[in-house]
Amino acid sequence: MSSSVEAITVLSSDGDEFKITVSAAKLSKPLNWMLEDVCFSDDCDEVPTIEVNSKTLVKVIEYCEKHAPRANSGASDSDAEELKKWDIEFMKMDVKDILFHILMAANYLHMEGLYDLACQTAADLMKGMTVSQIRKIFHIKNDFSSEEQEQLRRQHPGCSFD
Amino acid sequence: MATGGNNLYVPREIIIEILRRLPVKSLVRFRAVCKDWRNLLKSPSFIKEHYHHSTHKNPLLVFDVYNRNSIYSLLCSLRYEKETVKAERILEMDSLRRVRRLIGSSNGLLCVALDCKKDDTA
Repeated sequence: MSSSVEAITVLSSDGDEFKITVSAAKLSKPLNWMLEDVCFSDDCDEVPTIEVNSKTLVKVIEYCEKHAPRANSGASDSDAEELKKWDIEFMKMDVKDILFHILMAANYLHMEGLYDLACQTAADLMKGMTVSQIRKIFHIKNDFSSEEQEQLRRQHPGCSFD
Repeated sequence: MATGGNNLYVPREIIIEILRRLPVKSLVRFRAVCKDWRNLLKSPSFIKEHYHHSTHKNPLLVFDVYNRNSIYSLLCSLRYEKETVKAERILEMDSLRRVRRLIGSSNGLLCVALDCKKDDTA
């Protein structure tokens, strides 16, 4: 039975194996369903794959392991404060390279806390960016004609196309 | 192999989720990104969502300046009216100096009670 194991093994989309404790896996709805559906005992060699690459999965598991004790038992205010500080440090990763992967993984794994944190981090990062920087990170082409740009500039003096 | 963030296609619903968390000033600027963003950012449904998100997350409101010479404005929380936060003085809000009481607010509009003492009107 799944309840007898403390940690489970999952595969990343790159085919690497990762261990995650049962209490941490419960932060994700799909992982929780897996725990109920799939046999994780020693005599079962089925290892479920999570469609998240290794680099991202390491971070997601790190987040789950850190947040699991609080999610499972509630926490004092000082714990919550400590966790908030940890979240800020946690998000100081190579954001441009990995933040969007974390966002999509959190979305796919139905992890509300991590999704919210990653969205807010992305927003904080983007708010000071120029329009051309935004186009670059989202691979968007400027599809305005020069007349339309002029019109937009007149309507919204705050608009900048650079 | 893992792909780097450079090749990643971020789905529209996630982009919207991020944009909802941006300040209005950035959103006005980002209308110039492309036509799709312009249409999204000016759509009533997005504006409504953005408003709800920002008032839920950050229900602070400049409410009062206690001292004429004070370098601080006081921010008053809409959720917990007793709670005030010291913030840098915002000169544009000095007209609120005579505000004595917040009666209510709706969609960013305030109903306030003013202090009408003569010596205060200078």
